[in-house]
Amino acid sequence: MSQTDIRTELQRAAPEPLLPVEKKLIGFSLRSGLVLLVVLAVINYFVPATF
Amino acid sequence: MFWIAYASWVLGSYANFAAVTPAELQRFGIGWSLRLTNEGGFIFALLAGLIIANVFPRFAETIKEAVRPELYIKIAIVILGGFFAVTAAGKLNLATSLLLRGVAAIIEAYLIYWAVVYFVARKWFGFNREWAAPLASGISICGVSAAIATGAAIRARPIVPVLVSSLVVVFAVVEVLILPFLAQTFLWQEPLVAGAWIGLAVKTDGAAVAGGGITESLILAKSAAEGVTYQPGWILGTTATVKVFIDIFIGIWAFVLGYIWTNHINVTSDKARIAEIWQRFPKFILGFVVTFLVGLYLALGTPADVASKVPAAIGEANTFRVIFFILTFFSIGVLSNFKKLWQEGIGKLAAVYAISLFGFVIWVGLLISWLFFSGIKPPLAG
Repeated sequence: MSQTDIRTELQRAAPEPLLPVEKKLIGFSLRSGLVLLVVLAVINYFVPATF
Repeated sequence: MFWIAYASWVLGSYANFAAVTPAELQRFGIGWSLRLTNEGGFIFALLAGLIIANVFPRFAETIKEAVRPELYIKIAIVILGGFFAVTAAGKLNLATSLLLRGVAAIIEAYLIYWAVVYFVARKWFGFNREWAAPLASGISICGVSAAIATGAAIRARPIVPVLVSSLVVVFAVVEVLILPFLAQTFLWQEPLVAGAWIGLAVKTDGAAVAGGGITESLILAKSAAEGVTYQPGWILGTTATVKVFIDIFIGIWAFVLGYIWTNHINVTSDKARIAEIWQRFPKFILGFVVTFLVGLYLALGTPADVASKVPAAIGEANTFRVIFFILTFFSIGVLSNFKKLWQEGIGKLAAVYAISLFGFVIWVGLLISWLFFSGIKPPLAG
């Protein structure tokens, strides 16, 4: 694929609306990431690093 | 290529660039220094590569077979495994604590960064799925390898991860030239926060781990000037731990995306297979684990007369680690032809990258590094 083709493709790409499965993936990732981070932060608080 | 890279290292060790403390300035009989430490040679290697890529593109083309930053950094990381083992052997509790905190990096990169960047690319910039998924992996996980693994998993055309990878390298250059100095200025009192931050913020293994090396030198120098001398190895160790932890899951994440894409988005007979997890697993991690375990055994499980010789032996191996770091920096520079990238018209991709990286990834990385690594100091030297 030539450079011009890529430029044109990126500029003129038809919009693809978010599918329900993509929305689920984004939502599930964010929710589980935030929950796990809170859990780790709590563990980190109660089990501090040992020197 | 080796000689240009190594000459950069020699240049970086010149007293006016490397000397840090007043005592060193006096010893070398000089009145000023850029205080880059001798690891500033990495920066010179990077600049030499950038000059070749952007001013002498024909020469860059001539040496392109040898320009393999991902190979060089992976060799360096395998060597680092033994170095960390010896460093950690004296402080096993602290090393274990750092490993446990590395888990936070996995959650951040895969579950938070990826989702946000994918959303930004799709919703705000209107990228289609084929471009948005490798771009999100490149920005949020681990640069080049993640973009390539994701591109293959979702059955994207080969050109897509290649272009994303080029972008990753260019932004990594910018980050390596800025972030270590910011870390030295603002985070020198929290050395391990700085190490973790570099691992989370700089994408692509080469730039991140080598950037961790520069950050360590700069912070150790600044701390020494303030009268605190830390043991070397812990800041770089934190950066590499964060990076290796993130790398471990590339194959699994690529499989998850591949499964969703081939079953629910672009339904095809070429379904994602569980074997792809192993195919995309970065094998150099096995080398890192083996050298770490062998180093730990030699340091802790052998008679005293053998164990006492291990630090010196690892010191010899560490010399090779430095050589591969230099080659990594030089290679990253040679791959960063800004003009060529601009001609390829990937300004819109670069915009997503810049907004995600500087508006989100760097700051969330700093917050999480602070949350999990603040207050933990490297052991003092001696």
